[in-house]
Amino acid sequence: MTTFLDNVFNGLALGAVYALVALGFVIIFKASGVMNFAHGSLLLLGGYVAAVLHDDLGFAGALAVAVLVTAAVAGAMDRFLLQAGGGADPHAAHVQTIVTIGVDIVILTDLSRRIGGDLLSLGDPWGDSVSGLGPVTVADSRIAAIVVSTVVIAGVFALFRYTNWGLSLRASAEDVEAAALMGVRLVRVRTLAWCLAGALAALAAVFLAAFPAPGLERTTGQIALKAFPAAILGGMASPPGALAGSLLIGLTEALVAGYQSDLHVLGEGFGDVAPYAVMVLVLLIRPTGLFGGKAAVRV
Amino acid sequence: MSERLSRARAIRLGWTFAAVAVLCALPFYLDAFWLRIGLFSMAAAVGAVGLGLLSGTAGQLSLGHAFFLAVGAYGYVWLAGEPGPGLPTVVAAVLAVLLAGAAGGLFSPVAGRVRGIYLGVATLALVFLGHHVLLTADSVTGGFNGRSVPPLEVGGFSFSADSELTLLGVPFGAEERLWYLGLALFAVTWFTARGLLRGRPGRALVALRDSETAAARYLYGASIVLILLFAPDGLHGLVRRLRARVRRPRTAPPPSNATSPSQPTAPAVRAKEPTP
Amino acid sequence: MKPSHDHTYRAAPRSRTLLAAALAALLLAGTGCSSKANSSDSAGDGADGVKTGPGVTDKTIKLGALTDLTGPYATLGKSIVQAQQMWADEVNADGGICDRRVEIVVKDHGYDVQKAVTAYADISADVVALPQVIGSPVMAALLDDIDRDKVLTFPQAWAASLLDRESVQVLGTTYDIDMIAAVDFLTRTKGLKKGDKIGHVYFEGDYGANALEGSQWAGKKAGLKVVGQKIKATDTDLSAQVSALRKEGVKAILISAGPAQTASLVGVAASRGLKVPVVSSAPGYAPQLMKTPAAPALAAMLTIVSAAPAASSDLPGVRKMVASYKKKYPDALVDAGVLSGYNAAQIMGADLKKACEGGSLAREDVVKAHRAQSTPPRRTSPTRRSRPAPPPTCTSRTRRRSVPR
Repeated sequence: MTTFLDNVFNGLALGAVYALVALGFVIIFKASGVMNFAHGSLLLLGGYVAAVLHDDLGFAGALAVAVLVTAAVAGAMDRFLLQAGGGADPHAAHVQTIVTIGVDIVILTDLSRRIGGDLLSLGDPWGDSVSGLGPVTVADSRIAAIVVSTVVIAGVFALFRYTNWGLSLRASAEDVEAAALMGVRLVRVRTLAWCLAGALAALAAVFLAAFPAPGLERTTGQIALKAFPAAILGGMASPPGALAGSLLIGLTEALVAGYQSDLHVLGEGFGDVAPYAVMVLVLLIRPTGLFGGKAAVRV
Repeated sequence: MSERLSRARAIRLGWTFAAVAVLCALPFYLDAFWLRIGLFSMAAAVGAVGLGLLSGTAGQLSLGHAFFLAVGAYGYVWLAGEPGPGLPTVVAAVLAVLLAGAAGGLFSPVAGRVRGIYLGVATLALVFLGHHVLLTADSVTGGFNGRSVPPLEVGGFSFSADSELTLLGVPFGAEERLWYLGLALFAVTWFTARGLLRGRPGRALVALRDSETAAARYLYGASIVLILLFAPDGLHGLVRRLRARVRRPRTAPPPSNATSPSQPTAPAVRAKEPTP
Repeated sequence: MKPSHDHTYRAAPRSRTLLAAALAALLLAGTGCSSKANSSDSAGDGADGVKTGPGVTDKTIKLGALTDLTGPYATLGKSIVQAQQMWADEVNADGGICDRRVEIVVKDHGYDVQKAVTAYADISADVVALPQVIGSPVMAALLDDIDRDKVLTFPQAWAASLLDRESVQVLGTTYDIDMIAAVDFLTRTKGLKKGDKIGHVYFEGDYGANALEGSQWAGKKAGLKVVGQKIKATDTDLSAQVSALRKEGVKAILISAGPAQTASLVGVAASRGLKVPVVSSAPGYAPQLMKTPAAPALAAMLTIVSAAPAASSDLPGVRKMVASYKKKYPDALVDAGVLSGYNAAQIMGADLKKACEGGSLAREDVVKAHRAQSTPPRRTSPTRRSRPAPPPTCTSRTRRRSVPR
């Protein structure tokens, strides 16, 4: 039973961190129709900046700078690279998606070169301390992950609901032309969405590099890829869907990895691909994701 | 006017001949290092044609092309070698291409149900799941280390350095021989794709891109189309395998480098971390 | 219309054939002058009567290194390159080998097999031997080519699958031997008894599979049950594995993975109360780990098993080498790569000298000279040729917190 609770808790914590990443991913998609393949390297960038600066600025200071830098880079990427060609063409989104792959390679190569084989510590305040929650021992950093993610995600939802920007974003996602006619500054709304996504990714990096992971290394960014199936199966344009999807994915991964020895028949290491299997299954049943609406197409 | 037209055609033809001539002459001048790079490029070109048909003309975002590459590649190795049926290599090659096409066909129900960006990520799932299966089924695929590739043999002529061959004073090793095979396969792909695009299937593909709903009404056998689209990747995989000796699953399915047009998978599986 | 119609149709095929013929003629003429046609083996006799081959001229001997300078093993690759360069400089200052300067050609593959294969194709014609090749996947891909070209190779990989090849020499113990030594260490010094369970966390691939063979063999001999946990190279959070091992009640854990995994395993295990001895092979540790939060747990629980002495060892040969390395590269980290690289280079030097004495520096004769050596130069590690039957005496080392820089 303890093992089960262990795994469930781990799954929730993982899910919470994935939610930060998946949410950013969904925001970008909602705002620009682009699947941002550079999300992983943005995450790594955020973590790297925090790792490099935490000695001089302290954890909080380094984190703040990291969030700002990542947001800036994401926004710049959108404004100067993706939107430069003019984004009105509905097929441009596919092309821009592929461009993000190129950006990902560039950023990742440079960061990999800098990080090399090192394990960087982010100087987080939780260290390797653990607490007992009933029969289960959990890492403090995991508890913090769940708490911080919940707060931040609630904040983002509030942003969507109660601010002008949130309204503009939802409007332009629904009908781009009408929104433009109503005076929504499309370019600005979109770029801000990218900035927000970058900031969320940087935050996620902190928890991904914290205990029980040994530190930030060049492959940490790859974890962002697990958020793709999470975002997809929740419905790409649906923030609540991203949350639900992430929790589902996190739980699946933790449970499969934890009970790996009992799941021999699926092959070792199935935990890594379980999220994708779950995603395909969900898509077959609901082709636009759990919370995605049916798309109406004019013929 | 027809005279001017035919002059333009003749000039274009001239340039084409020149290009082909240069390409055919290259193995006589370049050493294996450059020829290998050229072979990688040719393989990539074949795959790119396929992907262009699928994503460009038909508008189906496919990020999982590496999977079909892998099917073609591993299909050839298994069919032509042991353990496996040990078929004659040419037969194995043709069957491998068809196998990749069949894989595409099998995927088409999913492709039919899921649209747009969701299709893109569903194909990405194909890559991951496929990679997992390939790593686990090591009796067929050689697992983590991959398997040796049986060199292609056509009627006694082997596309490897096993037999001595010297043309015009230049020793012809594996890379030189494969070069011409690569050129031939690329030409086949080119002409097939061109024919496809100019005919009814091509118009069907464009209809698919412009309006899937409308196209669904009029298209029958969308899976046939998809099979045709995925076959070039079997070719691609084949060409790559033909000049590979031992390849690891991580380089065959989603290659961690620039030889595959399926770059989307590169961030996904690129840094499969090392073992010493 | 009609007359010109015929006219053009007659003209087009004619100009086409003319063009084709002209190009074909050019082609034939051109290829006849190809330099490739004139390329012959660089084999021949040197001025001093020593038979030469690829990589050897009258003035230089070229050695090749297929290393990782930009990938995951960048720090290791850099250490090895620098150590071997230091050796080459020392040798050249002493007059060189066979009256020739030694040069090392370094190619970086970044741990990418495709790049490595291309790099090999690039340099193989120009070098006599390869004192450095990093990575078992790289070695697996190049084995056939190395065998065919008879290039003496000292890989930085210790899988048993590399044994029993004429041109490939594994310097040190293979992973399975390491694990056998580890099990022996645990039963002798950590009080493990018959019927106990030990965990073994291992990477997929050659490294892990080979290590598991060793631990399972040793476990059977010692009456211990081995609980295996296969992980991927991208797994850096081993909480799930620790949970599973704790459920099984293991009394010790073997790990055959990378430094990140070792740190995670030890850190998580310690925090969950699973404070058991952990033993790893040399590739599973890097000095940088002592700067992570897991450092206290590592110092308390981890032991490394290796055929080579640590860089902090007191052996006079090691100390001298480390001192000159620090002098030459004052800011560099002194890690296992420095020793490993220098050792490989030294052995290569001894082989080249012997081949020279035998009158030939052709590649296959360098390989023969190596195989004819009975003892490797004293200083560092034993060499392994083929699969041995009984377990050897083992060397184990406890990592203390102070690791030399």
